[in-house]
Amino acid sequence: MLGNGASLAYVIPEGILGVTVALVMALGSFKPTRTRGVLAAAGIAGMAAALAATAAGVSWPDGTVLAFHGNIVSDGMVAVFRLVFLLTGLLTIVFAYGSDEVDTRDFGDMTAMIAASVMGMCFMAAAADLLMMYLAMEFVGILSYVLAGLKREDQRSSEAALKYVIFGAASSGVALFGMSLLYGIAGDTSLAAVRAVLVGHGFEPLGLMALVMILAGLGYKMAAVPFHMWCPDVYQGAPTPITAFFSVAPKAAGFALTLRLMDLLLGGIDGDAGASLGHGLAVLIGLVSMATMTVGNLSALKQTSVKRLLAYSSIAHAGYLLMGVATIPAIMGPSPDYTGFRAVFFYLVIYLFMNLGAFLVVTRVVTRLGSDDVSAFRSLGRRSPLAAVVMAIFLFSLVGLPPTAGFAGKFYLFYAILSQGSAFFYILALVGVANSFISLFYYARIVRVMFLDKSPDTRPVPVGALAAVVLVILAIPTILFGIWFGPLVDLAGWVFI
Amino acid sequence: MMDALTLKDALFWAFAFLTVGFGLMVTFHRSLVHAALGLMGTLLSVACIYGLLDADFVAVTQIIVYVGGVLILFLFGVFLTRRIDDIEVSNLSVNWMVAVPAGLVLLAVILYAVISSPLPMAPVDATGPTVEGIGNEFLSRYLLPFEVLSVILLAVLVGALMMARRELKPEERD
Repeated sequence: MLGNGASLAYVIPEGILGVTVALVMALGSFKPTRTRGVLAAAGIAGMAAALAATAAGVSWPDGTVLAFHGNIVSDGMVAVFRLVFLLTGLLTIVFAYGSDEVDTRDFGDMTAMIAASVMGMCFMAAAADLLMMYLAMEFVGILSYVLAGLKREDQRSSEAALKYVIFGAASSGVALFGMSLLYGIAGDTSLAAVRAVLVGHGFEPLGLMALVMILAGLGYKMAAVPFHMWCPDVYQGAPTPITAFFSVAPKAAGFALTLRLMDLLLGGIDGDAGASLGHGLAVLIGLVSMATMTVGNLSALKQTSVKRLLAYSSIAHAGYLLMGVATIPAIMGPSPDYTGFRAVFFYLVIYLFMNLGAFLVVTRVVTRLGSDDVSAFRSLGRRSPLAAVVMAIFLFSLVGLPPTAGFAGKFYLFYAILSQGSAFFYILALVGVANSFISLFYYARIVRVMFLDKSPDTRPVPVGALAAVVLVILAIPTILFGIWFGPLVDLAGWVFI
Repeated sequence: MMDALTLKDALFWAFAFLTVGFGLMVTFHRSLVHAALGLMGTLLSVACIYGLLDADFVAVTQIIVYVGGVLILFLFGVFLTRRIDDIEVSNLSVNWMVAVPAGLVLLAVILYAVISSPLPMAPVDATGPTVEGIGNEFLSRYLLPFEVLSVILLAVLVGALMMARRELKPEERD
């Protein structure tokens, strides 16, 4: 366990983000109406620097290092999740730069808030202490509330912010209550101490209840049913680039923290006390997973706003990802197997590309046509061929059709849960397959509207050079990882040992 | 057999009842101002319980931050909000048919869990002031959370400004 000074080497990307936040805020105080490009460049440069540093192996130890007196862990998992968050944050700034939904006056603050929020997410993935966990969650939460309310004079945006605050406060309270119970049991805030008590004499039912409460707070971050009610309204009300950010980054952070919590508490644990707790949680998470994908997909079927439809689709995807989290029993015992956790990470990376891609197309359509209704997408195949074709790729990948990356991701998830070999997981897989089938209907509806429906307005919809480049950059991995997923599988296997 | 009720126990029960009693007032009183006063009672009683637990720093912080800060802000918020002409808008009974059973079930689950689980009951030999210990912990073991918290407070400040600034915009344009 490292002290504070020696630990600084393990939070360099977070440090870069901190400097970026300060820099962007300082730049934003000069003539904010004229410096949109400068602010975007500063934000992107900061994110890119942190991204490059992480990719180059900075703050990426070979094994596991407990830093800051055990407050955070530094390992491969933190590093790869940093990449996910940083990439999402960077692309969000690019999206927002080209969108007219974010007022130029707010652009600097928005960029700073995204950078700060990414920093909070990195801490979420690294937290090894209840206090740190809670602070990181609140950090990301508070910034999200502000980001959701960015659109001034827009009633929907204000409503989104308010709903987000109220749901967020309630769920944080529940999670904090759970954490306080764990602290009461263990007498220490570190997860290692909680685990020691768990190994010693188990702590059912109080510990189970505490963990369920914490998972409820995390379920809200991931938008899992029944904590999803805020999601469609917030996604619809927030500016579209911010919605894109919400649909990937905080969700990935919620999953990162869940995987971290489960690993630190139950990974490789021996004995009956821990085993029964783990099995109980697995069934619970499995049931939440089934409810989440079913509610998400069935609600998406009747949506006419594409932003709202993608919100429900992101709920459904949280359900698919939860299938992988439900494989907790496999990580317990003397020979832990992290296939399910690897599948979650693998899917999250693919989800990043396909979901951000779909949202970028929506961002451009909203900016050009002023509407995110399905009817605005009519004849997009003729009016903006590139956007329509890549949108079709992203949507088919979201369904999980081969040869897209979505298929590889789903395949890995189903493989992970089927290899559990118990009846409950077979049922879970069956529900997952049925849901993927349902999702085909609403994704294909958008594709049909884009290519077959006639629009009264046939003028071309220019996407812009920057957006076109980013769309192609996002479309490449969406196809490539469907065919050539070996490296990504290796990375996942290397991170979760 | 039961031990004799010490003065400390008696005080604990008194403050516990006050906490819950004022809490009920917050929950059920229709008037926002009365609910706020009830909140003050709850917060003060909790501060007294902290005091009984020898947590002097937490007790004082509770009074300074919650009673002195948050509650006063809350009252100012009520008084300065123009839209609240009728302040009897607190605690409207909506959906109580669902909420009451759900709350009772949750209470039962929590009570069952707390009662049936063995909690460590070792007496804490905390005597003397705790401020020094807390200060040392903040600058050693809990330095990172402490620093992260300062960034969070900055974010809250900037966020609140962004939200509040919106009202000024139309006037700026004129």
